[in-house]
Amino acid sequence: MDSLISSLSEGRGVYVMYFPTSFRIHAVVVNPFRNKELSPSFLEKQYRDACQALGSLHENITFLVDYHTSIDAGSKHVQRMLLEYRQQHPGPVIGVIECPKLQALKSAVRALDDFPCVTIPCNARDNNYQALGWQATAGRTSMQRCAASTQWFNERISLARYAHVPLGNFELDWLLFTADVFFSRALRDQQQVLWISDDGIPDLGGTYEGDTCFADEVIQPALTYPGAYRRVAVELKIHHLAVNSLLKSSQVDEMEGGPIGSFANDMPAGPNGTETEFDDATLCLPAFQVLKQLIQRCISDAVSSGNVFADAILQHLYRWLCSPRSKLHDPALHHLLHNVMKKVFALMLAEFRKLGANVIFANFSKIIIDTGKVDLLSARAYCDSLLKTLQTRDIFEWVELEPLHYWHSLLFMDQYNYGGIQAKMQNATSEGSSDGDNDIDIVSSWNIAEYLPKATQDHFVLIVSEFLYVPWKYMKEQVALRSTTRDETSCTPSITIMAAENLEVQVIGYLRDQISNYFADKLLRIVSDILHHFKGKGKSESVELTNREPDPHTHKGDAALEFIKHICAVLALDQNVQHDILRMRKNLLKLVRVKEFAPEAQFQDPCASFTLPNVICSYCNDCRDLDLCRDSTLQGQEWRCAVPQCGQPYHREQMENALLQVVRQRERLYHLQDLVCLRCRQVKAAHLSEQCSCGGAFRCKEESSQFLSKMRVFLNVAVSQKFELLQDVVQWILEVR
Amino acid sequence: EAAAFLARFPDAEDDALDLLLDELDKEPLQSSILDRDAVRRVVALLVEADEAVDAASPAATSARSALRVVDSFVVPRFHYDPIKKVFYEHTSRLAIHGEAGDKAALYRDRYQVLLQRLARDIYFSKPAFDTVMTEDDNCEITSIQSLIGCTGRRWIMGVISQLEERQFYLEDLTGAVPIDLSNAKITSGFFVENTVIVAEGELLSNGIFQVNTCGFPPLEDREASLSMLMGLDFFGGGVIPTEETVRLSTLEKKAMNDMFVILSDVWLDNYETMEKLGVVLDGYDSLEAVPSLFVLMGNFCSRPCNLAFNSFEELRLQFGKLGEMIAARSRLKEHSRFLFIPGPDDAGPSKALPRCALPKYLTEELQKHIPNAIFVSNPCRVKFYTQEIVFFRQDLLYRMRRSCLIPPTTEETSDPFEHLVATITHQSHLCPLPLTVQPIIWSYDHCLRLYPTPHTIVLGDKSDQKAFKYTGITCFNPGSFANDSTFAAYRPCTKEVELSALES
Repeated sequence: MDSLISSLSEGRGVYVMYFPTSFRIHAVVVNPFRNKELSPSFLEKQYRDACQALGSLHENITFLVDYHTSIDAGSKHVQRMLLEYRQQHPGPVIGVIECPKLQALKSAVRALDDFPCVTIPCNARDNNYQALGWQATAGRTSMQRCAASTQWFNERISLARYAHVPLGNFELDWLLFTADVFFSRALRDQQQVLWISDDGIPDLGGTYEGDTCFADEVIQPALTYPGAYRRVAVELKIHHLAVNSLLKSSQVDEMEGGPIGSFANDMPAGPNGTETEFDDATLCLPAFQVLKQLIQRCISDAVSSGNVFADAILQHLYRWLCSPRSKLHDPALHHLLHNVMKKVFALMLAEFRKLGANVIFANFSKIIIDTGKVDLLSARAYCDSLLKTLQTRDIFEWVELEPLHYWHSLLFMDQYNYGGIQAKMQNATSEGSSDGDNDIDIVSSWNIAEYLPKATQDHFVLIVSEFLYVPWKYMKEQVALRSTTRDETSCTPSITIMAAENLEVQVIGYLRDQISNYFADKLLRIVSDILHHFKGKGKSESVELTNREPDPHTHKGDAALEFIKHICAVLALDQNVQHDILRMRKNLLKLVRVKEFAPEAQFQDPCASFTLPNVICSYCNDCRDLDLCRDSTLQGQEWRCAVPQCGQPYHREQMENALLQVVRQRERLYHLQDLVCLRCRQVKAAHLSEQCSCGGAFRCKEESSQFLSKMRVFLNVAVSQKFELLQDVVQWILEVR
Repeated sequence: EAAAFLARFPDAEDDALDLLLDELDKEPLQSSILDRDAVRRVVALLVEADEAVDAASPAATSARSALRVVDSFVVPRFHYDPIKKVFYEHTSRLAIHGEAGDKAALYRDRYQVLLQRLARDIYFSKPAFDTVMTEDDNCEITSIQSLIGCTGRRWIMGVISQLEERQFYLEDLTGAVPIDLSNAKITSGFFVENTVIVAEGELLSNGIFQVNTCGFPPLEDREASLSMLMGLDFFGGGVIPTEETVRLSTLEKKAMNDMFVILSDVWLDNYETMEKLGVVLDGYDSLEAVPSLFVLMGNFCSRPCNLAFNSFEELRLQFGKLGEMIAARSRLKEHSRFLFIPGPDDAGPSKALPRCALPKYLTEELQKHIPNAIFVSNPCRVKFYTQEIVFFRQDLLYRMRRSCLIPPTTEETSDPFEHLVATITHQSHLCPLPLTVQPIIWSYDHCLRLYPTPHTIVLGDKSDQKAFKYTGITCFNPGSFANDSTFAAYRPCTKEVELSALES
């Protein structure tokens, strides 16, 4: 075996050849200039450090460095060395190549034609050289890659043995490839047709007439219960929902009283209802069963035998099913599993509620529940008990729920508009918590605030944070006070319940006082300041202060009015004090001379948005629906995975293409939509008639203005992300010149 | 529109703009807003004048002035007024995403065009003198609403539609009647939903119209249509006065050296296809007279634009390489024009017809090498002197065969392509398929019309290469270049088609 690591950038580059059998590493550096920074001793040190980091043995390696001024000369040198190696070692040899442009490398170094080659996935950052000191960086990186290559190769051999696939056949994405191979074998064993194709649509013979783009139909369900949650809430991450749903689909059948195929009929016929071929669900049932058996075998391999490859396949199951690049990708199969996942998801939420938890928010990745507990220790104990109980349910056997955050207090409008008092992580795990101010973070994640001018934003965040903190602090003090009192009097449990209720009443009363006095005064002053500050500016200047382009329906330019609407919409999330907030709002609106029930006084979320479903990170396998205009982690130029320890950039062209397919699908469906009678609501059947038989006129099910305003969202995304093709396409649809 | 007009005068843009504004002042506007239609009319007039001047110059045989390419989205729309029995132009804005009335108008306009044509046919005219014709020869069309209470044999004309599951109806402007086609004798063509048929039969007591014979509305000669239209511009390339027509026709017949080369399925991402294209270009570059026009139709990628396709940047670079390849053949670059028509699976906003030109993002690199390359919609129209040629790239034959309700008759021909030609010419429509099979932009259905009948129709299809002359109309399919190495060369002076292929 020999390893060849190569990275090139603008006429500069490094080729590193690692010959384990010869105990030799040879570096060829291409540098148009005179400075030579790499030496054998430098490389040796880097290699030793890399081996220590990996925990592998450090052999006695000879290091050699050669310099050339052009890529061609460097390539020739590599060519010559490989030929020499070939002559000295005529036995079997395999090449392990890590290179960004494999074809270009093979063209330049023809000696590689004599070697069977396998490819290590390449990190794009290896090719980004800084202007100065790049040689040391490239040297260190290449030594790390050399040290890792042996381990990588051995892992690949183990995978080849497990999967019974020749070593050289694995593609860059070995997971998709291996899953396809396993599925193919299982289908063949069951005498089923293999629908292998390379464009994401099953090859079932003949030309496929329909467009099977499910992008708009497999949005994850997202349940949102806006409100103010003044007791401890816990945020749970959901793992392995896809695997669990697949394995437990039979139980779901029994509980629902029907076969899996009938799920499609449960779906309400939305705008895409007429387009979906419900027979797809029934037709792919045999394949679904085969898939289920396959996953059961992977579970056995992973759990009983501890096989890491089987475990990885399970981790990436959903990614494989979603990926149109999989050879056996079938949108109907994906759609079917998605329906089962929705069923299991609904059952899980029902179970949570049965166990006394109050759901604040839930989607396929995350659940936030209100524990109903006042202090953190009780909440944590309750949460542990809840998860243990859920784990005993057979239908959730493989689902794993991981607590991520505990919130002392949470003001929740939706997934992208919330604020809360979050307990710090070490506090959540330590036994003796003190619940002091040092142990909390006040989190503000308000997308709607982005549409206020900067100065107003600061006021907004401050008021909301105080609205969270003030009652929580008061409650903490009251609890401490009562704890002291209780120690002295030794009260009975029944009195404790009454005391808890009394405490809540007391906190609400306190908050109402604060609203009438502190908050009302402060907000009146803030609004006056805003009015004064913006009086001297024209409307255009106010609009310029907005960070992003809002929905066209939003009344622009009036900063004070927008501030009032935003802040009162958030504070009114607390049902207990809603009446007081509305009264305060009326007073604030008087200040800007707007009537309470005027249309411009109604709050509307300023951000029209689109959610791109099933975006899967290629690195950490996280699968989520991306809300492209509201998700704060997506703002800015590059879209990255939001998992904290990952941050891998999403593939730009894949993202643009996914959006393009949604646009094309919606455009097509617009032209296929039914017409509806205005009077009798019947769908128009005849083609040539201009009136309904009842005499009514017809209208489109989806008006063109609705359709075009949705398209404007895509145009905004395309412009901000510089998706040029998407921009061309949507501009044509919107007839923008 | 104005920018495109100004681009024709790179050295005198200010003068051209002044001229444009002067002409606009003379234009009677409906409102104070200057809309696209007014600008388009003025630009068309000025372009017409400019080309007349060019034609009168000693370089009258120049292909540049003889050739005019019309994008679908600038073809004027005409409605038929059955009361006055004339066509009038649609003058308001045509939205790409129309309202409910636009969808109904799509069907009604198609029906009206064919009905007014049928009314002039000798067999279906009202008898002027009852005594002259016998009962059996009377083929007057009965409206469907009037069928109620009628007995005996009747002729009706309507659109085939499926208003109920597995029950077909004929619809006309007045109503709909269920039909029984099981024993019908048919003429050539594919009888699919959404085609307009003339049916002879009888209304049974159960309310079903039993069809004995049916066929498509008879064709009308191009000259007859033109004389009736009296100068309306249905084709979109502007109207030529009669005396000018004679002159241009003479020039057209003398244009012996003009040739159009048409290739379909030019896969830029396929190495073999590009090699073959190089051979073709070399071959024509070495001719004494190079072709006037190369028409390259999509698909330009071997894989369809769907969720699994993620290489638009690569495709953009491949268009750039194509530009390099053409530019390397200097005689073609200097003297030939290159026309690019998107295919059904190319990237773009929609699959609905008509399709707009390829996105600018994909074609920018090519235009750096070939600045005068023309990117147009699918379908598109080309006017060469007086000759009208329609180019349409769609895998139509397969869908027609899959969608037809009755197996085609084999009496006149068993060739599927000839049935396809009969269908679209008699229907005067390039794509008379149900909207669910092929969506159509409601307000732009007129762009797919073939009325009056053009001289030549090019149907780019992935099926076999084929040429067919049908009642004076030249129709051909150049075949799939990527799959079969086939292409076509067309000589407009004689209307002859050479079906060509590379040795493989």
